[in-house]
Amino acid sequence: MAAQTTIAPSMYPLRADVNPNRPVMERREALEGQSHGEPVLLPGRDNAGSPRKPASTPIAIIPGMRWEDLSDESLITKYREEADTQQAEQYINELFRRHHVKVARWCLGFTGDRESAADLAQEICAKAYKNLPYFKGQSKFSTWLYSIARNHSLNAIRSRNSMPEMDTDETVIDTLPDMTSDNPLKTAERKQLTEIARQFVNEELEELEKQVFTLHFAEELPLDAITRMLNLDNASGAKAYLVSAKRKLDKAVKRWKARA
Amino acid sequence: MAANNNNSKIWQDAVSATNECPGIEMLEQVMEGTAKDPKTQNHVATCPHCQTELAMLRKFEYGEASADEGAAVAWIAAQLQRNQKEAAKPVRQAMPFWRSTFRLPYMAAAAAVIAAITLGISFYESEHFQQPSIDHSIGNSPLRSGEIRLINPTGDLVQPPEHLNWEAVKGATSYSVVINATDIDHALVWQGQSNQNNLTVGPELKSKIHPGKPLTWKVTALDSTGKELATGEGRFRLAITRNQQ
Repeated sequence: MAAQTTIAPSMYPLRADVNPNRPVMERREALEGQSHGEPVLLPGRDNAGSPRKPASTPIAIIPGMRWEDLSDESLITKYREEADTQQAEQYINELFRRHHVKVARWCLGFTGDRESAADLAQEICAKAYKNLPYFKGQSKFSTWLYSIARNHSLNAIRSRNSMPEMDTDETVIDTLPDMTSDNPLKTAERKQLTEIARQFVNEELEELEKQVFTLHFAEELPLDAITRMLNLDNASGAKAYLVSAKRKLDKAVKRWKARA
Repeated sequence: MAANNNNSKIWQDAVSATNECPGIEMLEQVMEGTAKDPKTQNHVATCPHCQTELAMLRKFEYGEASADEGAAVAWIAAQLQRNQKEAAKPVRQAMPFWRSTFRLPYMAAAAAVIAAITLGISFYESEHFQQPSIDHSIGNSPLRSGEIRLINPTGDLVQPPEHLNWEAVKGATSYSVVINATDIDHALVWQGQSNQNNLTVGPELKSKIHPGKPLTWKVTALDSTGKELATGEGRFRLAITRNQQ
């Protein structure tokens, strides 16, 4: 969705010798090259182009600030400064409007159908709006919004799929490489074995295999959701990547045990 | 079976977040190429969890809808925009006929009559009835109404707490305890219930208390009907030891 240009009302005090009736585009062109927001004294001209006599009272207009010129963080600052005014709501509406497509795309990746995605997206935006007082500016607003979207959608998927496809899970878990028996570090603590397993995942797997493996085992996402999220267009989707990952990890564990 | 569970837990832990995983703010810097700390960059390069998080963050920020998703994404975004506009509209309802009767001139007259009657009644009562008195023996609690004092843990801790303790609330039959992170979205860390004014910190909760990460905890006192009587909130943090720095 293209951003719509809206002129925010002028927020600077009036100054002399500037004609407010001058066409907006002409004023803007005159401002090119000026530092942002700095007031400019422009000679007034009437429609015929003749110089107008200076006004006896201050009638200056300073260039209006466009919404798209304000960063996300500036919109939040202005929203907080002008709280409880109608203007404040316009700032926050613009802020969220800018990120609707991102949230929409994210949610569609999780749910696969537009109606559920719209519901999920609405919940995420509502949650972000409610938690806006907690946004401290330690990251970009879009990163903060991502964090909310991520946690909310993962929880939604988990609660919807409280019993992930058991046959696939059991098959893969049963055949995950065995780190515990006959391992070279006989008295190794689980922490050490975990570290070695992490190393295998990092070094042996390709990027997509790593992501599928992590999303499935750490975040407990079902394979169909992972397939949609990562836009996997192969025949078996995420399952194929998981099987491939398991095969590579099997080999890595066997090599490790053989070396001992 | 137990060995199988142990093995699968090892693989699960291998790709889960650890104490060393940076927060989302740092991952954003890694994504933008502005991270200055080499330790963070090295960690991300060797951590499957962080690499997956980074990929998802990148997808959220810069990903594009596929050809067959474009229309659906646009539809959803339009729904959000419409809902936002609807929420911003002031609610105007058609005035029912009985309300139209109570317009200003009528309201002013009615208000004057009501005021006169009220004054008359109050003068009459002050002459003939005893003033009610406040019974100070009821609810004699040192706490401000609605607030629970959390006793421990508070502030920086040398080791993970063994118990959560708070002052008992009169009339409470159970307490709900919720622990949240203090990061940018206040993620839920743990929640539980107790029918006493304390709770033992079990291994599951202890595993979520990481050094250096502050947590808030909130206790809500409930009566037998589930009605909320009082709440209290506090913060604590497990200090980072020298070995962990």
